[in-house]
Amino acid sequence: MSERYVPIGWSRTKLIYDAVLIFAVCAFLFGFFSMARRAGLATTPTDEGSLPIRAFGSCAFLLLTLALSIGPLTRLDKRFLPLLYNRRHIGIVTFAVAAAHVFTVFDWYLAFSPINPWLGLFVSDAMFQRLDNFPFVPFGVLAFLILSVLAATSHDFWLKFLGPGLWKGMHMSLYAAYGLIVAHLSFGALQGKQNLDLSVLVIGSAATLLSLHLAAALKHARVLRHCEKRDLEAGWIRVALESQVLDGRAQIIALPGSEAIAVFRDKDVITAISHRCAHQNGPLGEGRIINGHVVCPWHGHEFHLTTGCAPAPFTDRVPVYPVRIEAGMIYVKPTPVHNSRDRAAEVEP
Amino acid sequence: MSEVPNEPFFIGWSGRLPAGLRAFYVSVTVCVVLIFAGLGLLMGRNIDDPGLNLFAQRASESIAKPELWVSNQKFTGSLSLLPYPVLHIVSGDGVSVLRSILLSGSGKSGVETTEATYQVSAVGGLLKRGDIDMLAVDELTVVNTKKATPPLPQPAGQWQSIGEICDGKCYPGGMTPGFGLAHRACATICLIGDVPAIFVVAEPIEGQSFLLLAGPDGEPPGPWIREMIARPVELTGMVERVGQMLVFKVDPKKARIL
Ligand code: FES
Repeated sequence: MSERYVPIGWSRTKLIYDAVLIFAVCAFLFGFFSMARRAGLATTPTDEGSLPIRAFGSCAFLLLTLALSIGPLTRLDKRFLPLLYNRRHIGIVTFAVAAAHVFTVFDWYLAFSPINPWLGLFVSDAMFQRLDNFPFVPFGVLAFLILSVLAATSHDFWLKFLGPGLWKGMHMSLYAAYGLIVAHLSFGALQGKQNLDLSVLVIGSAATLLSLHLAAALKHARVLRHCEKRDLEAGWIRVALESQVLDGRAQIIALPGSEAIAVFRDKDVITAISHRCAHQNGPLGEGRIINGHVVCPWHGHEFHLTTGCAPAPFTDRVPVYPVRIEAGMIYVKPTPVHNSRDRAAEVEP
Repeated sequence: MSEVPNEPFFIGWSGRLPAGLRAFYVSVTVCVVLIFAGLGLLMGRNIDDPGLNLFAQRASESIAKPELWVSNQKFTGSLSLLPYPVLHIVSGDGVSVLRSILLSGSGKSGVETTEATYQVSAVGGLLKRGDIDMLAVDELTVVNTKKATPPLPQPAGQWQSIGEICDGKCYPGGMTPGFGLAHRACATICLIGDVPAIFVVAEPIEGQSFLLLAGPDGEPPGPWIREMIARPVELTGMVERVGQMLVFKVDPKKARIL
């Protein structure tokens, strides 16, 4: 959380996080190579050039599954939230392992050839009219391109430069990359003869990911209250009884469209602030209050409960909404007190 | 107002995990590492063996394993250029061709040749499998003093045959003969790089288990072979004998994937 962009603001938790990640990758590769060499003794050994290609490829797939599981896991169990803080590090490691996969392919299948390896990727299996030999490489290349762009733009500098909406939208293409990799594997490695284990990995991972997302969406739909016609009274939304909002917590109400409002209680004061964090659209309403600021559960950005402003020197701001309490009932006006999400655009009193 | 639950709350930039979550994260770490290690073992256990090629399953005497790769071999003879360069070694009296050797360059590329007017001498690594001789040429020099005429093609009839289109370098042992996608992709790259295309036949033709592949007019086969590489195919066309080499002049319209 710094306005001066440093490559990575290392902290103890980040170091441990990355160490565990790299250790897990090494454990996978070690397991893979030791087992493959042992299995190779019993049958015709697989050539040494193909082993790392397969090892890096399947490891990258596994890492991507892990990265995409964290979002729904945090919705299902808040204890997973700390995993989200450094999720982009998984993205970078995935990109590095995928790059190792690509370059070992260049170094083996496309080596010793006068053809440019990038071109070679596309000419070596062109047969669009047959499903049993549909070109699998372009799927992988596209996925790798997505991973590269996302790795290159993962830093907060790009988040600020592109704006949270565009940045987040771009980074959602990780799901497209996942789909492309499943296609890459289905038309590629899964066409081989003895890959029951790989089929189990691919189908198991994809199914796990899908069920996690479904379960998270169901839970989210139950938690999030949608604003209905009957909640509206002369332009104000009836939110909840004052006594229903716990101290330090919020009631979240979703407006038609993508906006949602978090109605917080801080001791005796009730305030309404946007549920969408200015950083990466994180769920502010699931945050905690510290010194009159709500702290986002995703990366810890803070916003003042009544002004929506991040503490100086930060200039981020989220909308806040007028609140009225009548006979113990909280009403919120769905028009923000100010319109800009960026405090810098306004003159401070 | 009901009791506020006291759940631990992690603030990323604080760099400190709430005490209540430490045990949870120890188990998460153990789980992640175990899952990765376990899946690594599982994935490594049963990877495809690219040595199971289509022809190994009906391995016969005529389709042998790669037998030989001897470097620094030198041969002198006459050159025929189409569909691919072949070096013909002629008997001392100049009457008969003793041996016809396929030529390729280094790696996955064809050999750069000169005109076929003079004798040439070629130095390189010799690969041998069954009745294929393939020389991966390091150096090709013209022996200026001796004129040479390549052997004339002798018609050997119309043939229809089942087999597999391979590249003439990997098949005799340039790389481990393979199977499936990787084999196909590799053979395609070789053939695009002008390594001679050969047709390995299921039943020998004129006593040979492979033929050099050509288009209908004896030219190198066109892009039509692309989708036929390294899969069972049936080809039809005229066969000619050039020296000891059989050339299959395939009619692309009658070629089909089985
Ligand atoms: S989304 Fe990153 S701090 Fe809120």
